[in-house]
Amino acid sequence: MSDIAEQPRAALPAARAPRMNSAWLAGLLLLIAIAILTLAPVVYVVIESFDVSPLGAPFKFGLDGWRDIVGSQRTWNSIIYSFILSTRVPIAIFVALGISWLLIRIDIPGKRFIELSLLFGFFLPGVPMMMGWVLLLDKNYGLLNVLAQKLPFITEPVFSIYSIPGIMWVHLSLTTIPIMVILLAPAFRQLDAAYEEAAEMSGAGQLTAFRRVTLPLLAPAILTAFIAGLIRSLETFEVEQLLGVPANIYVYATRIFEMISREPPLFAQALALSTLFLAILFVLSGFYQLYLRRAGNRATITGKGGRLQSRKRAWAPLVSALLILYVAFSIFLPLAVLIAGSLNKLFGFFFLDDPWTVNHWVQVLGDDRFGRAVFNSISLGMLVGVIGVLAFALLSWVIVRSRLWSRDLISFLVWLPWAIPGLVLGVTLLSLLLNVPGLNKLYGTLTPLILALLIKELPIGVQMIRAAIAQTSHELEEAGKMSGAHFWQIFRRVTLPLIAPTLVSVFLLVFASTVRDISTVVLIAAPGTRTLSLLMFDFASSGRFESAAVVGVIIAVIALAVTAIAFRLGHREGI
Amino acid sequence: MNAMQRTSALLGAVAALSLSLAGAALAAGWDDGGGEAWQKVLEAAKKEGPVVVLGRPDLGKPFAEGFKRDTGLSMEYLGGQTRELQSRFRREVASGNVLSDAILGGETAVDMIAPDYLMSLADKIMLPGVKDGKNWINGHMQWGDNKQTYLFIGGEYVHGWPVLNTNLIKPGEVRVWEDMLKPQFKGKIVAFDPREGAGGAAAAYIIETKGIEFYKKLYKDQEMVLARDGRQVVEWLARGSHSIALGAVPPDVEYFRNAGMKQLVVTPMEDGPGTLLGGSAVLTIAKKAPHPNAATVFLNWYASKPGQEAFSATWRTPSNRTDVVVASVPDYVKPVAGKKYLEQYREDWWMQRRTVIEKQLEELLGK
Repeated sequence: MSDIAEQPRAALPAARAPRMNSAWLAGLLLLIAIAILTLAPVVYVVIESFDVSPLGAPFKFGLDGWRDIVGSQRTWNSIIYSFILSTRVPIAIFVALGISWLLIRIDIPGKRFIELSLLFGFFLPGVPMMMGWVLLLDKNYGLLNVLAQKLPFITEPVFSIYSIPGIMWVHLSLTTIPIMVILLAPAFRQLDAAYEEAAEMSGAGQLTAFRRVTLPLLAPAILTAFIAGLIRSLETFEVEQLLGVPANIYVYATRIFEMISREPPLFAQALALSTLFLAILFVLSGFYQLYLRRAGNRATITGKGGRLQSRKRAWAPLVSALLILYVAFSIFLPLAVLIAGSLNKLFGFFFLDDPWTVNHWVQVLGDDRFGRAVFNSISLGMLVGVIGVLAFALLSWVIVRSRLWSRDLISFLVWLPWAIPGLVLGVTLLSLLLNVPGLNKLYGTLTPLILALLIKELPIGVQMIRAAIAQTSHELEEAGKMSGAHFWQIFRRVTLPLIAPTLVSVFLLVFASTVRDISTVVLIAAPGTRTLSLLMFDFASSGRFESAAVVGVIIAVIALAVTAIAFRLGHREGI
Repeated sequence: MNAMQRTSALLGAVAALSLSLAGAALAAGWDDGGGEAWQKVLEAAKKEGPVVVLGRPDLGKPFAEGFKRDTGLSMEYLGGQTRELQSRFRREVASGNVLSDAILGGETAVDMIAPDYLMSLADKIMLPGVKDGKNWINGHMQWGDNKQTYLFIGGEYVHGWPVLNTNLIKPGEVRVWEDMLKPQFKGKIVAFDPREGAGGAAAAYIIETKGIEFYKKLYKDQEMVLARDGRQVVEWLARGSHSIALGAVPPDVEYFRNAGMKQLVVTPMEDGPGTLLGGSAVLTIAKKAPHPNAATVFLNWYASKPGQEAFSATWRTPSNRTDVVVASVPDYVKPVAGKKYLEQYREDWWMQRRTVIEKQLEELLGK
């Protein structure tokens, strides 16, 4: 592998032709493996969007699905709403850049608590937390509206959660800002202090150094975060489903959900709409590759400099107080409502004569499915997290450092799973599992779940690690090679430690996404392989929000434990 | 704990034990008269392993426990929303790679009959207590398909009535459908989305009886608000942000009423009898069920008295069996003998009228 990696093909002497063949073969095999995982679902989606036959009947070509979505005003409205709501991504990047910079460059009191809280916030289960926000911000009975109207100069409700700002706030507070901090903080941490020091020695102020030096160096990570955030914002549907429909706000993903939910389902239409999304992804991916080519080498970790040190500032306590207030309001307030709701006779009905009960806790903890769901969630999260981090790191290295002939193609293929929303990916994988000989033996086991979640997390994992590897200088690995180390030693002892902060973030991100996921696995999880999120979904589907809230709190506890362990390990290893 | 509390606790425990013993004793004779053929099926089922059933999540525990108690057989129950489960079941039967034996859902399974994906159930009914017509409303088992073979409907309930918050609406203010068009109800009506199961059924009933123009007025002029979640509909009513709810299902209404929200009242309209729905009581079994004998035992158990009691008590809807009387089933969902209801879970209505109504709703709500 080291030969594959470090010898430019043009420079290989003729005597080493067999090695070149083995490199060619390695490139081919890797390309095939990635293509099977990423291209197969996409090809299925595109082909099936033209299938107008009834379910189970042989393929029949037709344009009905396409005609329906193109001719539907609601579809176009939903696309417009999707893009309006996706404006939260640049807002979140702006806020997250500020928070990350403060956490890493300024010595603010409680910074570990703030960072841990944001990580923890991302782990929290979306739908129950959203219910917490509903209880706070509903126009008619939201606690914050009730409190606001007690003020002498306010007579009308101030907030309305069933609106575009309401939906944006729920996303921003619960996922978009936390995930942006998770994505950007490691990139900040990996900056070589020498660059900023050089800028300051040249007389640049802190703001100028940030604008002219730090931001350009972080550009690949920011771009990755932007694209990841944009794609994810376009495919979310749970929040929009509950908060958008009453206000007649439909988005791209709720339209797909609606089509798949119809009886009988409108698969051709849903898959045609997904194919449109594929086109958007192609454009974004093209811009990204073009940018990386133009930007060239952006190594920010070299063998010469050190990591950025945080600085003391007089205003740090004030900023700390504001950030703690922000996480308290955006994460802990709805969490407190969620916990209280799990102890309510009726979720969120605090003003009944006798509103409290522990019955829902007793019922959930005594449920036969509970123990197995905890085991499945943790083992699935760990398996997907560990396998994912190792596989994504290796793939990223191949894309950034190797000279395999297929690396550009691989780099393109890893984007593809982003083109398929979770629910469509679930339907697609179910069809492939049931219809491809050999694969059907896996149906009913944990393996399809692991594969599905790895495929889903592949783009974000690879893009994050790829950006981190691109930030490290080649010279460090070359030094390892000069010392006689072989590829695996260099990879394990030089490359991975250098990007350790990003690896920890990717692990946490993949673990959290796995534990939270509903849409991708709901169709392929067999009775014995149900996770906590699916148990929560089952309760919510039966109208038992109280029991769903109990499971939500338990997921939060697991999230807190895993985040704390990862933080402690990271702290011990100096990352 | 004082002496009185101790006595109460003891009496409570004795009562609970007596009830469970009575239940077990009643269940003991549930398969009487099955004969040798039934015993053979039971034996074969034991060798096949657990029967895999898909259905509403809340039915999982009572079904698995009751089935085990009465048959000695295990069940793997996969709960979820009907649309996801139907999607999974359809893809399994279409591929021929079937993992699930049976699904409890709605009438939607009717289109799986033509491609021959479903098992014929009528000839798998083995127990005299199930076959006997006197145990069933109208003297026979109810089916959702014209051949009376594939879609067995365990129970049907009266649906379509508005639920009123009587803290906000005076008695007698809403007696007939036209009352809902009164100006004071503008912006005060919430409905379960007509594009969803029970929401669609409620809308279909109004359209069938009052016409699409009436429904348009209700939706547009009265600024009806739609919600995608059944519980959300009832919750808004309970909180008083809306005073009338359409399309709410009995388990959600009764859940709130049992928690003390007695102001939520299902109000039958005087100008029409309501509609009959099978809800999630329609049982279909895959033709290539991986555990055919266990599935046959499940069919017979589900159609028997203990199976129907478990369903009826959980879903708070009446059974089509005449010998199943569950106290927790509210009166407003029980069909009244002699009334002519709109039966939506019948193949002809489903395939013909429902398609037309769906198109009308599509034009109204947008395609």
